Amino acid sequence: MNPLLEQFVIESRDFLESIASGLLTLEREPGNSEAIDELFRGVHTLKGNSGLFPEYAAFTHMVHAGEDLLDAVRDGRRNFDAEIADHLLECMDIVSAMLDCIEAGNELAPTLCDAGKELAVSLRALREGSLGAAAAPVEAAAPAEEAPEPVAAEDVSVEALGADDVAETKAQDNQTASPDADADGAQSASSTGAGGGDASLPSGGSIQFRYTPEPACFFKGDDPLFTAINAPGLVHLSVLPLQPWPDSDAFDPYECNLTIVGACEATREELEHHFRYVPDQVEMTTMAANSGQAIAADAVHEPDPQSVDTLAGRGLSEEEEVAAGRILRCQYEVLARTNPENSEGVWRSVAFVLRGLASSHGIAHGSIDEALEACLKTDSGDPLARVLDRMAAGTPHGGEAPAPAPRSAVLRARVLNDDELELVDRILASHVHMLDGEPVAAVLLAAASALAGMRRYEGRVDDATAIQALGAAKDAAGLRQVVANWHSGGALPAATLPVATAPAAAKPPATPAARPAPAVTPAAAAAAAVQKTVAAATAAAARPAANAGAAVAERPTAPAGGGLEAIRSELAEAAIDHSANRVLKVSQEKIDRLMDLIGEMVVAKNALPYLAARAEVSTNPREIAREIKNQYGVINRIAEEMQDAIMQVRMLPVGNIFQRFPRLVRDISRKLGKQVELYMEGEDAEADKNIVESLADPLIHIVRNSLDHGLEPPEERRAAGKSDTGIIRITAFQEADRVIIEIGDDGRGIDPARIKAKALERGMIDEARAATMTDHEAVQLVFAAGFSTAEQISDLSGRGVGMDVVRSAIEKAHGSVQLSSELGRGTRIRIALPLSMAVTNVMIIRSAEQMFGVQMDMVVETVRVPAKAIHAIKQQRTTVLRGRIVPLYALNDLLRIPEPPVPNEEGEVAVLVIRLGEQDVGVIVDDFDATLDLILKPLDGVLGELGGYSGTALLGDGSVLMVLNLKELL
Amino acid sequence: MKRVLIIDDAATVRMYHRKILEDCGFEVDEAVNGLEALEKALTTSYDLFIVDINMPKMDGYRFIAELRARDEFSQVPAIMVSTESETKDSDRAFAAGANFYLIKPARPVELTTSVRLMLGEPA
Repeated sequence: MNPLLEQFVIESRDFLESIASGLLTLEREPGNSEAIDELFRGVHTLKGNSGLFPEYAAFTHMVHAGEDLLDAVRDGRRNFDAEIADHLLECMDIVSAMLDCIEAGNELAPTLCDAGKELAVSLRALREGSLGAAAAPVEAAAPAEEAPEPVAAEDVSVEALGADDVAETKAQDNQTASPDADADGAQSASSTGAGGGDASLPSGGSIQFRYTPEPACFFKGDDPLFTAINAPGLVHLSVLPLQPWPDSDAFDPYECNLTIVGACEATREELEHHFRYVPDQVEMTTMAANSGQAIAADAVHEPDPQSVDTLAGRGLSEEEEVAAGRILRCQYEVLARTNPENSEGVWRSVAFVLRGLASSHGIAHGSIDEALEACLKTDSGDPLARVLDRMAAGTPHGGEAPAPAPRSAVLRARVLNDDELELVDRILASHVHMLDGEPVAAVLLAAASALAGMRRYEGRVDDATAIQALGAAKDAAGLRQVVANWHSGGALPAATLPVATAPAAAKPPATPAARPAPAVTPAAAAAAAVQKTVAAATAAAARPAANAGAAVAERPTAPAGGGLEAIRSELAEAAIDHSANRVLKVSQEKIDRLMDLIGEMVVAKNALPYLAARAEVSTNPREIAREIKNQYGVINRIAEEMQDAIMQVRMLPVGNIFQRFPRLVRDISRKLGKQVELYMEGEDAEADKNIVESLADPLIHIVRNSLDHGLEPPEERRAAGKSDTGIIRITAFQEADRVIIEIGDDGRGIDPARIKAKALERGMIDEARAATMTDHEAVQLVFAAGFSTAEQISDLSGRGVGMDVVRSAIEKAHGSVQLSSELGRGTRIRIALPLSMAVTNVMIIRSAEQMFGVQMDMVVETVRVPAKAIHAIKQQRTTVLRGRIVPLYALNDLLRIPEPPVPNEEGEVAVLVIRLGEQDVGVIVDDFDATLDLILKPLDGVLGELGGYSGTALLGDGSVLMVLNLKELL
Repeated sequence: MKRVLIIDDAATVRMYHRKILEDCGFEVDEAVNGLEALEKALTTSYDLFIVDINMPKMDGYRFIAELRARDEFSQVPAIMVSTESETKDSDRAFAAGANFYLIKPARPVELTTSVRLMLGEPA
């Protein structure tokens, strides 16, 4: 997984947790505005982060719906209630499942996406619910109203991700009746593209798409151009370089560096279907045929007013004009980037494009051919550039007209590419707002600084200096003028613009932007766009109430610029720091200790080759052996310390799994109509990560049992003289080398009589056993496989997989579980787990000349029992140890090895006493051996089905030790 | 080398922006909220700020207002980056003194180009 995605998953999980707990807090205290803010921020950030990954649009879509709902809650438009909490919790569940998908490296499962979509609908319905019917139409109309303003940084791709996209597209579609779209014109514009569009235009509107194939697309079998050419209803197509073409030696022909922009007379669905294999690489905008937002994605491509007039006379639709302007500008760039090596080919291609354009606009192309000849003759692109200028300036042919000489000027300033030009205009638009009204001096300085930066970027340093001076002089009007005249060069008429390029004209402060814009004609177009923005901004400013007023009202209440200490204390009360996330945080100290130990280990290891060399020549093997033993001692000490240090690193608080209980208890108790209070203590108790994680499922099961079977409904509790609210208490603490977790409830407890009856009915015990069983023993029967007592099987627990699963899960982690219950008073379950199971302490035993391992945590003691002290009761061998009868089993019998146990010289047999549940059992073996710390590996594959072994371990001499699972064997 | 401070409470977003900007040769530093950013800015000089809006402790609007209230930072451009696509949000950002407003997720080229443009540093 790439690091960004990994970070996303980790951070999202943290947010999920804080969101879930925030929701629960809010449910308890609906008015807690701090909690609402926190909650909103969590959901908001979650959505924002997911937006970085367009492939998870379904994720973003759903969370966005949740965010909007919370926004309504925050604004007080909607009251927070359990229904909202339910939906948002469900939303987080889906998010969690989606994160699992992402983490597993998969795409989002379609079922999840569908669930997400459904939920998004209900989340929106919930929000609308309180807004009233009147709100809906306003909602739908809003995007249409705002759309024509190229003010904010409208990014198509973001829009497409947004949850409102469906509504928005619809709104725009309705606007988009394209009555003046001219069929012939549409065809002529398509002459630059490869595929001809259908001459008959559907009235449904048109869609602009920008298809940016990923660089490695050729290796994936994509054919971007073919795909684009075959787009349904294609009326225009241009292929542009994504990045400026690199030098030929840096050019990688196998990497796609194209972006394909096209317009289609087709429905969005058709296009989406067409691009279904590359949805993440295609952006679509619905175009209103006769509105200025034709190609809203990049305002800079709007045509220069001059050329619009000229071309309009030729019966072209606005889109076609836009396309033509765009093509021309591309040619400028192509010319500007010509290398001497390939100039001829470039000029020919430019001429070819111009000829196509000219013929489609009814312009003779003689002058183009002449220009090409001239270029080839003079080895300069200027003749073609002049033709371009004329075409772009709207003087179609005019072979004899005085040719402006713009190329030199154009080439002197930097040529900006599409992206740059688009951003220049957007930044300029931002500065229109920034400089609006009466900005303070600092804002003027900041604006001047950024504007000057942009001029420097364009290669016009003296302009930059002039702009800085304007800022320093606090000349807001001057700066506003700079922005408005950015591309146009002051009062100079657009048509003659390229000629008037005397650098001397660029004197501050009157005409700071006197030099021509980088790309001549489009510059004029861009200027138009900016002017439009200015107009829009002015209009916006003139709009009396809402926006501006709101902006002012929302400004920080405290005066800005106070001392940092003052700010800090002001903010201190609101400081809830949720930045702490759940990535394993390890103290520096622990890591330092590990580092020291590794250093020691390296040194200690280096002694071994030296010893080996000594051993080769030595005549005294005993001395060498002693030295080796010494060295072993050193390494052993270091290894033990390292093991300890690493275990410290892996320790996690059990609280990590407690966090999910409030939610669980809330959901289930609501479903069952019970009132439950959950108390948790000792979340800080630590255990190894694996142990903590293995605890999660059993604990959930136990808590569910308590909720479902243990705690009574309020009426029953009242009848029993208890308070209506039941209590579940989860406590964790450390006891010696174990971590203990107790789950207790004050419910009805387990009825031993019922258990016995059930066990009898199922044939698990016989009458005689039932009669002699104590209540405590009877209650333990719930751990038996397949035992379920609920009279009515609910969907929460009691499907036959009951406590036996809990017990086996805990035993797998080498833990134990005990249950005690008092009828009418409640049930208590106590789970004890080792702190760590990374390393297992194993005792080696011998039997039938083989070695086996037994886990030390099961071993109570080892004793030698004289043969005569072994008695047979019925078929069972037993012995008496300290007054208790201990049943004995021979290991050889358990393993079906046909050998008798071998006693030692004194006629005593070796008995390993182990604890099984609450009973001690003796296992007869031949002999005991050392105990060792081993890394236990579980058996894999077919061997994994051998229940009698819990795993294998490698011994120092390279042999394999089978470690017995005596619980299974017995 | 120009130094950019990224201010965002979401680690994922910081990582994303950092990668994009570092690949373009900018030196990048991070802060998780406005307050931390202000503290950092007082000890280290930055050439540009990239500011999220919704952050704990001190949000982006407040941060920019604080920035613009101090002479030493008044010339440092600031770009707001937020998921809010409504005009009122960008209006408020500009009113506070932000130079530019990008909608999250910003395309890499959008981010780098606008940073470069404002710093006058062509690629």
